[in-house]
Amino acid sequence: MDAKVRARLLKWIGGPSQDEIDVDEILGLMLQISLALMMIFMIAFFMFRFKSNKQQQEQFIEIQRQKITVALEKNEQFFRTRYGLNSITRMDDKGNTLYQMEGLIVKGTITDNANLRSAFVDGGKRAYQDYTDVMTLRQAWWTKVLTDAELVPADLTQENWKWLAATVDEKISSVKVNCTEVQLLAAVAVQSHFLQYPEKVTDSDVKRLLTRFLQAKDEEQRLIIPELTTALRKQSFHYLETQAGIPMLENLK
Amino acid sequence: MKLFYRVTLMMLLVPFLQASEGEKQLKRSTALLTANLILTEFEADFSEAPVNADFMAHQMTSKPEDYIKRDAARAKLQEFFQERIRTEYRQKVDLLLARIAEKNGVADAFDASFQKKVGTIPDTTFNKVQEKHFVKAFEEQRKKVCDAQMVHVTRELFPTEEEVDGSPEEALIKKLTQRLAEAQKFQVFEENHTYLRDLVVLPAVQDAYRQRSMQSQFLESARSPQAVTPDDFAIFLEKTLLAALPEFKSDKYPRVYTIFPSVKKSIPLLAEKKAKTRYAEFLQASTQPFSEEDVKKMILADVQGHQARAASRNKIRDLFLKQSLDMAPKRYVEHVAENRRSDVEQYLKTTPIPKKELSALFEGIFDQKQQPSWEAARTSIIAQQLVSIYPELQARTWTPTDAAVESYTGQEATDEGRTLRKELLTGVASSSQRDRDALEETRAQAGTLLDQELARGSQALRQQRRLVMACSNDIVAEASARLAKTKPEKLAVELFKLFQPRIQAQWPDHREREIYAPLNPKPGNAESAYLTLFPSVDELLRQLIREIIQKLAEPEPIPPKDPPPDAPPPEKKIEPLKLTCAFTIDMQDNQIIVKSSGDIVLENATLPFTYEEYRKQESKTLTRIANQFAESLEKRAKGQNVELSLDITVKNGMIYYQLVSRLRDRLDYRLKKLRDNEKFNIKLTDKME
Repeated sequence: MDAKVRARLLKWIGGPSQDEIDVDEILGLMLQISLALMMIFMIAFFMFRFKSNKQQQEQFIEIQRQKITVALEKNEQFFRTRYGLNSITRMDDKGNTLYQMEGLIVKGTITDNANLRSAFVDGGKRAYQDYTDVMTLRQAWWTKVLTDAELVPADLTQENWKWLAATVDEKISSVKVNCTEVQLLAAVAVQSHFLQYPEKVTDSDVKRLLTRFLQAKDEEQRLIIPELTTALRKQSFHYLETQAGIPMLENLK
Repeated sequence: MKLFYRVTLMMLLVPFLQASEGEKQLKRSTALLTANLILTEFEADFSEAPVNADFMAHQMTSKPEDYIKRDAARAKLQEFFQERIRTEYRQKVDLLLARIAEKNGVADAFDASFQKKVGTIPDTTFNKVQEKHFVKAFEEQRKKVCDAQMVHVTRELFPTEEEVDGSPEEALIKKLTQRLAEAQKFQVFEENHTYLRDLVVLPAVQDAYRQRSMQSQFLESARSPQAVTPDDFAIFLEKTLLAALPEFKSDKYPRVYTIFPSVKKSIPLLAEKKAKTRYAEFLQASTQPFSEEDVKKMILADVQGHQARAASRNKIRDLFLKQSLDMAPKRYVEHVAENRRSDVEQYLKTTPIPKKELSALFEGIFDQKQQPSWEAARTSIIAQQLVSIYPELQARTWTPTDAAVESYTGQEATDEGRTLRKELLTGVASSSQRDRDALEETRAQAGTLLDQELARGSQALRQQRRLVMACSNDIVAEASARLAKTKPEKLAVELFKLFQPRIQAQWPDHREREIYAPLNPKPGNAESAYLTLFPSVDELLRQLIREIIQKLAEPEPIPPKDPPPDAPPPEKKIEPLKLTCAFTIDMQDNQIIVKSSGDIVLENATLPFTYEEYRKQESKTLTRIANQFAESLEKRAKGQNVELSLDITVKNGMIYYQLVSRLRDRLDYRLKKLRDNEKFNIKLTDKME
């Protein structure tokens, strides 16, 4: 290093003048600068390396989730079929679920159509059995989904584990809601029939409440109406239970 | 992480969102069904439930000019009624639907067309409601407004309660007449005053008086089973009277008066009276007398103190009063409920019944409850004393000595007779001490028995005398036949010896027939008493014989030398004058009355029934009767032969002391002179009915 350079360097870094510094000190300074530059390069390298691993991980999860999603769809269809929902419901052009209640409940009675009847009766029976023990049902869903996705539980990433748990629960609830909806609509159909034939409402609680209602004062009437409503709802489900010979999901509330 | 939250949120929302449609439909259909059922029942109920028809009255009173004619009013109100039914039905249905929708949580459960449909009353129901309720409602409301109008119109006609009490009738009528005229805003013409007064105001005033009177009567007759103190009664009376006021309303007037001030003022006094009466009734009902046994013990413990009937009664009464008066308040307090006792004690401290009045009350209770057992106890003691003190009299075996009978007969009413009777009674007692213990009634009964026996003795003596007298003719005949052959003295002895056994032989049959045959039962001494002739009878026989002999021995009066020129006409057989008379002894107004009847009638004679009084007047009265009778008989006979049948009859089966025997003796004595005269044939009998 010629003198000019050295001098300029010293001035730049604010160090002592050329007259004030010796050779060792200058070498030392040079080493520090080299180390600093090396650190910069190292940081840049490690940063690049970390980002690359994360992308790979995400990619893995996504692939695994796609497998599970396919399995979940398949499984949901399985349970919908098991509960007779596919026979009773259909989709319209816009993708809305429609229920064939007019075919299922005819003149207040469960249809004689074997498919529909079986879907309602047998499906309802199975649904009641399954939803009576939700833990076992959840286990069955897990096993079936993982099998269909060709996975073992150990393969699941932590995120997918949590996601799968939530999704299975959601699916189970969703299917139950559909089953319940079918039974609710059946009850509505029965009540529509009762509307035409009020004499068929023979429930003793309903009769008693009606009598009480007419004799009651205003405030008491307000209290009796909810009781009457509950009794009528109960009677509708009871009516279906008697005809189908199965318990209703209403009972699991 | 965002994905996780998103999924969880979806999971929570999805069931709700998915379930809501079916649930909403079910809620709606349940609401519909509920409404349907309730409205079905409501419809049936609506036709049965009475309709509030007050609007009719309101309508008629707000515009009375439109509703003067009944039929027009009815037609008009029927239209309102129909509209009202429809509105009311709709309002009630709307209310029900709103309530059902609210309670089902489905605000739009019922669409407008449904509400309109069910809110319209069905024709059948409408007709049913109208048929069932309109006529009745109209009649009720019409009557209501008519009554109200009548009250308004006649308001000035009726006096207030204060006016009724505060004004005399005439002043009240005048006041009301004036007020009525003023209220109707017209001046009453003079001629109409009478009309208003008599036909309008007077009946209304009389109705007020009637109601006031009924209020008072009601209070008088009201009875409370619970009330005890005057306060209780006052509350009870006012309360029941208030409740009863509508019953006093007349059919003619609508006015029902409240309690009149005068009636109200009388309540405290009446309450006090009723409380007092309740107390008195309690005492009357609950006071227990001494038993017959107790009374008997009391009398026997102090027989001499109880000898006199009045004194005995006073003693028992005093004991009864003392016990009853001491116990009365305590018993009254005990008979009421425990929570009332302090009130009743307080009330009794006010001395509701003054002591004098209370004593009088218990006197009455004594007469009613204690007197019978006292009487029974005394009767029982008397019966015992008769047996123990006067056993012979009680058994009717006692017979007086001949001397006693002879001394007593004819002296019954004299002091000697009374003294003899007293001695006999004392003598017949089993001991003198016990005689002193005999009760007043025991002595009286014993005396009666003694008198009966003495009367029988006297009767025997008199009968024996009659037998002697009946032999007179025979003695005359026998003496006439024997006088020439036998000296008078000797003849007298012979005749006595002849007739005395003969009379003695006749006597038993005569005795039985005249004395004992009428008696049933016969006394115990019927077989043994008075069998022989009394010494005085023997003496009478001797006397009679002597008199006859003496008479026969006297020289015949020298007949006139010149016989009458004409032979005397044959003696006409004259029929004797037959007289039938009777004395009847009876009781009337606590007096003994001696009446005569038959051919000789005297003025009625009276004697007091009280023994002491009787004794004072007996002798005088009987003598007067006998004298009057004898005089009347003599006047009636006028020298003719007389056959007199005289009956003495005793009514009512009563024994009038010695009245019968003494009357007979007096008559017997007084008629003796007549009987001695052969013109008189007198038969004297007595009997009891």
